[in-house]
Amino acid sequence: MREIRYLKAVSETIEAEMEKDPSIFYMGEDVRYALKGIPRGFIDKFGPERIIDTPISEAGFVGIATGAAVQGMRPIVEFQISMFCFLAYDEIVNQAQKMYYMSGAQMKVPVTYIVPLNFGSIAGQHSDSPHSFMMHGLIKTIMPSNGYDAKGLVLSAIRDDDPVIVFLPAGITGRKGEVPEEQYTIPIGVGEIKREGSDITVVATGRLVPKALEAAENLAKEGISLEVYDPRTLFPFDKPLLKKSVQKTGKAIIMDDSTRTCGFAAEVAAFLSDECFATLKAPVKRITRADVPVPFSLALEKLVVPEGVKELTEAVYDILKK
Amino acid sequence: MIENFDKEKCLDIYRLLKMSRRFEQKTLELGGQGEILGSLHVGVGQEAVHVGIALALKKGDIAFRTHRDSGQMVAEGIEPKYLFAELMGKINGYCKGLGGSMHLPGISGVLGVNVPMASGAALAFKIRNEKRVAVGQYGDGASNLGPLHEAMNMAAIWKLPAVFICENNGYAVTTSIKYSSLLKNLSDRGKAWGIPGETVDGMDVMAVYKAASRLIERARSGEGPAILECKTYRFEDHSKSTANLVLSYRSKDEIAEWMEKDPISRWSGRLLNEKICTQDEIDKIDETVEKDIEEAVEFAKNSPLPEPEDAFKYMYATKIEGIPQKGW
Repeated sequence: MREIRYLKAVSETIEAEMEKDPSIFYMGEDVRYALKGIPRGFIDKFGPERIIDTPISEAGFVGIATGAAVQGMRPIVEFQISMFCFLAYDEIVNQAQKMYYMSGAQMKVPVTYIVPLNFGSIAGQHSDSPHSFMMHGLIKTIMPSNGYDAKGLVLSAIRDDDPVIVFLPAGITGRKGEVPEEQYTIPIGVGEIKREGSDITVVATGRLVPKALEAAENLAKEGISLEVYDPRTLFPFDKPLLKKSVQKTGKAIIMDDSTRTCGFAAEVAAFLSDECFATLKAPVKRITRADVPVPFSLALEKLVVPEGVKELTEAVYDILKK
Repeated sequence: MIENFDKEKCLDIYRLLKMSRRFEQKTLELGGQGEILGSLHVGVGQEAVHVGIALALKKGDIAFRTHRDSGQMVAEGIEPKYLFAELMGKINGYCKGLGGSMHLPGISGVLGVNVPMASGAALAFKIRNEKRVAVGQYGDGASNLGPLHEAMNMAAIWKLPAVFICENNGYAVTTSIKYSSLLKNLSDRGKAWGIPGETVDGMDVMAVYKAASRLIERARSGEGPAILECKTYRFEDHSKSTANLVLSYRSKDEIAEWMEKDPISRWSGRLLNEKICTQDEIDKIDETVEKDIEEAVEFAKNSPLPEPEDAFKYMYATKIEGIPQKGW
């Protein structure tokens, strides 16, 4: 099968769906020039009516997307920097998400938010991981860890009748992988076991999935068998699949870039305590972003944001008391 | 004839004004009796704006209103029985009891953000090349909200078919607009976005109708958005709960002065002065309105409550196994 970059997989599924469905438009800052690499060349094909550059007005244009969605459009909204979605938190969580419910199922808001994540020496206001905020707002939240998953999940997001937020993890969106040319969907809420194993279940998200696979490969040489579970959708994450895995291994490590407090890992740990307590043979471990802003110096960042392989390997040794 | 309205239409305008007011007053009454729970923000006094806009909208046009505009929904033709039922939290309510008075469709309880919503609807109309117009309503208080300004700017640069109507009733809860803005007319803000702004007497239904209609048709013809400020007044307090606090932010004289401008007696007075109808005809309309309101209330009272499990039925339009979760 052909190999293409992760970001190209996202781009081509949006492009193909836009050709098919005239109700889709793509909106955001500097999207005509595809600053974030997604709607490359779209402006020539779809014109400024459907590839809409916005002023710096996050709350305003997210609200506009909601209004357009209520009137039958399927907007795709790109945030140039992931933290900018905080500017539109009310518009996403308090308006777009609640509209269907509050209206007694009369107003649908089929919007897709595309949020490229950032990391590495850009610090504070440019290096956050807002996905747990969106989960807290009960927004369907997706974080694909490779191009194949991204292509299928982004298409599901576009076709979903609710607001869906897609986080594209920095650091892996340039990676190449096998992606079919034809359009396909991966259902929202369905996870995948990326590597089967028997000793410990590792829950990893986004950029940390390849890290978990790398650690698993290394540890296999020592006779340690890790099972890597990629939820792909963070809200709602695939509980039956996770439960099955932890029932088999009896141990779990959760690795995610959102904060320790109320982060994705905290939610998964709570679920394991609720549903898998009897089968757990060790305390559930969490590897997360520390509860401080991301510092600028890489010398500091390495103690705040997990590198992935290192922390996971240490956690595995700790659980197995090696 | 007044403007292009014949006698029948003039009387119907009176009926709409009265219906809007009686609907709102009835909600307060039912609130007092404990039939309606939660807060109520009634638009008594602002009927000229509500009916004026309702008259100016054409089929396919859409208004995104504030939580003080339920009377406008009645004027736009939404049956009050479903609104009463919603306010009572009944299953036959307009939103199945899930929204309540502050979250009816096309109304946002977070004031000002319906301006982005209206701009978005207008963007949809423009992309699809439909000759429809979206109206975004907001009060003097919400006129200071950021997303409102952002959306007005985008509506302006994209020449969207939208009209932004400011119902300036002078107060954001207790805060006077004289405190929160240096402008005498909030329509002047149009200059900031390069779009026209007009101010009209919001106690005169014909003045509102004429200006709204002209700006809506202007937007429809592709000339872009405009701001219409309607200077009006709420005769009641901000909400049911603030009324109980008996705050003194407005003087009795000021309230009395505005009540002199009552939009309903002003319209009926004009109909009588210009000999368009008789007092008898107006009295008859009053009777019909009372009857309609009573019937609507009866319907709502007799409606069943939702089943508690219904709280989990409408969370997502595209269902996914496992959500929403219950809390225990």
